[in-house]
Amino acid sequence: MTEQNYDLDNAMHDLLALEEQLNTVLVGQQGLIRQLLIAVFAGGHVLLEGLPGLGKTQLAKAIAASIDIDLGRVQCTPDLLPADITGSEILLGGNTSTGELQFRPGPVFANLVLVDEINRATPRTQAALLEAMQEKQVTYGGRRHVLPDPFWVIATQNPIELEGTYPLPEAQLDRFICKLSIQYPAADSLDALLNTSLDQEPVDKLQPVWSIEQARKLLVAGQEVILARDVRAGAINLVLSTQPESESASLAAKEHVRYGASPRALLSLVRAARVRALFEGRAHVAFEDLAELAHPVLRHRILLHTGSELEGNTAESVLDQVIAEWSAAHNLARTIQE
Amino acid sequence: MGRVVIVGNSNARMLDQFLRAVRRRIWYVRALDGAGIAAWYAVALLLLLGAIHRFFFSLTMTTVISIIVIPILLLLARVLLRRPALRECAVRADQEFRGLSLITTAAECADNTDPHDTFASRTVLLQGENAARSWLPEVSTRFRGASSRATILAVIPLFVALVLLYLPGADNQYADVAATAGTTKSKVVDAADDPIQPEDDVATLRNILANEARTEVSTDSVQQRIDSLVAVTPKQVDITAAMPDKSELPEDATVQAGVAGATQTNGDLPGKAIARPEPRNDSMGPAPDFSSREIIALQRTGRDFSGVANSAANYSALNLWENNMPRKIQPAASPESLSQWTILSRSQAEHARRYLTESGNAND
Repeated sequence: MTEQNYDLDNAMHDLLALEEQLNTVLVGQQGLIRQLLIAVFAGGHVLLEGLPGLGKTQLAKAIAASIDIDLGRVQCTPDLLPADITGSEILLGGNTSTGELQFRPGPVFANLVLVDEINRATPRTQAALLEAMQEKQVTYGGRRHVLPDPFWVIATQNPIELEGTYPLPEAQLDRFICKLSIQYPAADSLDALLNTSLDQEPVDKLQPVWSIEQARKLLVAGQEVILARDVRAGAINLVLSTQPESESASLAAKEHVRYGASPRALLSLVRAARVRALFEGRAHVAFEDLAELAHPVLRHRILLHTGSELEGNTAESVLDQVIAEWSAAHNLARTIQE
Repeated sequence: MGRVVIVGNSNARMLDQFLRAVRRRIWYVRALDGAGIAAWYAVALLLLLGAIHRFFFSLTMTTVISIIVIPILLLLARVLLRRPALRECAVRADQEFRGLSLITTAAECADNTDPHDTFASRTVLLQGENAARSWLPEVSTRFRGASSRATILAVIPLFVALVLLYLPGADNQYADVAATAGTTKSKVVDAADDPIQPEDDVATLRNILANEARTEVSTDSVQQRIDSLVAVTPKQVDITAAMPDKSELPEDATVQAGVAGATQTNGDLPGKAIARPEPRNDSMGPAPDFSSREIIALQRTGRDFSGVANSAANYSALNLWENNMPRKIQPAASPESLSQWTILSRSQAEHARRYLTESGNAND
C-alpha cells in the first residue's frame, strides 16, 4: 500500500477512532466533536463558545492526549501581556551573565494551544495571537521563530460574562476556521458523565491513538479529496450569497447583512468540507458537506445591520435563511431535511 | 462534457451508460412536461378564442387551429431539441439518487484526460461505476416531472372552451329581425351565415329561365322537372300547412315561404324563431323584367303564378331556383331576405299576370 493509498483508505478509520475516543471524554457532544475534528484536520483554528463547566478545556486536553502532541495553555486575563503568550528573551547566565539574550518560547509554541477565555485578554494581547495563528510564526526582537507543525489554536470564550471582556475584532475572528458552540448535554449524557468522570478525569486515562506523523499525513490527505467543478461553483455561490453587494446575494443577506463572508471563508469552507468527506469515507466533496459546514464556518464571519440585530435577528437565523435559499437552488432541501 | 473516457484501471462504461440513460429519461420527462404545459396553454388559448368567438366576433375553425397549433408546435420543438448535457444529467442524478455528488465527480474524473490521475480520482471513478450499476435499473422510474393529474384537469376547461367554440359566433347570434311587436332584436338560434341576397335570387332565377329558353328545352321537360322536384321533396307537403292563410295577412303583407317554413314545420332546428316580416309594398322589390319567352316558360308549368298564397306555385319556382343554385341554400335564410324573395315572387306573378292578360287580349 502506497502512502497515497493510506491517506484515503485509512483516513476515515483513523478519524473515526479518534472521534470515538473523544466521545468517551466529552459525553453527549458528538456533533461538536465531529465539527471540532473537521476544523482541526482542515488545518484551522477553532473558537469554542460555551458556558463554564461544559468541558471545553477537557476536550482540548483530550485531543492533545489522543494524538500525542504538545499542549500549550493560556488563561487569559486583562493583565496578560503578549510576551506571556509568545515568549520573551531572558538574560542568560544570571549574575555571571555575558549579556546574551535568549528567547524563551511561550505557551504558543506547542502543537495545540488552548487559549481559555480569549475575550478577557486585552486587544493588544489578542493581537499577539494574530501572527501566530495566520503565519504560524512568532517574531520577537526582530527574529522569526517558527511554530511547531502541526499548530492549532483552540480558543474559548464565555458568551455571558461581558463585563471586563474585549470582544474579538472581526479581523481576528476571521482567522478561526470555525466557531463552535457547546450546548448543555442531555440527561442521559449527564448520567454517563457521572459514570465516567465522577472519580477521575477520563482524560488522564487516554492513550494516544495516533502519532503526530499520522496527524500530519491526515492533514495532507484532505488535500487529495476531489472538488468537482459544480461543487466548487456551489461553494463560491454560497459564500457570495452572504455578501449583500454581490449579484448572487440571497434575499436574507440583502436585508440583514452588513458585511458578508470573506474569501478566506471560502477557503475555510472547502477545506473543512474535504475533511468532512474523509469522515464520510468519500474521496470527493459533496454539496451536502458545504451545507452542513456553512453554519460553523460562516456564523462568525457575517456582520448584521444594527437595526436587524435590534429586531432580534442573529447571524444564525440569517444564515439559516441564506442556506435555505442556497439549498433550494441546488435542490438539496429534501436531502438535508431528511 | 464530451464522451466519457476510461481512466486508469477503472471502466467508465457503466457510468457512461448510466448518464445516457439519465439523459434519455430527463429528456422524456421534459417532453412530457412540455406537452402538459402545451396542453394547458392550448386550453387557455381555446378558452380565450371561445370567448372571442362567442361574444365578440366569429372565428373560423382554420383560424382557431392555426392560432393554437403553431405556438404549441414551437414549444414542443424547443423542448425536444434541447437535449440535456451529460454534466447536467450527472448533477440531476446525484440529486435524484442522493448521490452526494458522486456521479458528478466521477463523471468529471472520467472526462479528465490527465494521465497523472490520482488515487482519489480512481477511487471516485470506481465508486461512481458501482453506484451507476446499482442505480441504472431505477432510472426509468425516477426523475418524475410535474404531476400528470394537473394535465388531466385540463379536460374541464377544454370542455368549456369547446362548448364556446361550438356555439354560433357573435356575428350570427343576433339578427336584426323586425318582430311584430316592434323592432327589438329577436334571437335566432340558427341564422344563416350567408343570407340570401334578393338580387342574387332574381338574377339566378332569371338565368335559369333564360338558359332553359335559350337551350330550347321543351316546356314539357321543364314541367316534368318541376313536378319531379316537387314530388321528391317531402317538404312540399308541409309547405302549405306552414304557410299562413292569405286572409290573415295584411293586404300588402308577404308570406314566408320556401325552405324556412319547411324547416320550421319539420322541426329540424328546435327553438328556431321566425319573425313575421313587416308588411312590404310591392314597389319595394326590384321590378321584374322577364322576357316573353321566360314568362311563357313559367306559364307552361301549369302553375298559377299569380296567387302569392298559393304556396305550390311559389314553392315550385323556389325549388327550381334552389336546385339550380350553385351553392347550398341555407335552410334558414334571414327573414328579411325571404320576404324580399317572396315580394319578388309576387311581383313576378303580377307582372306575369299582366303580361298574360295583355297577350291573351292581343291573341284574342
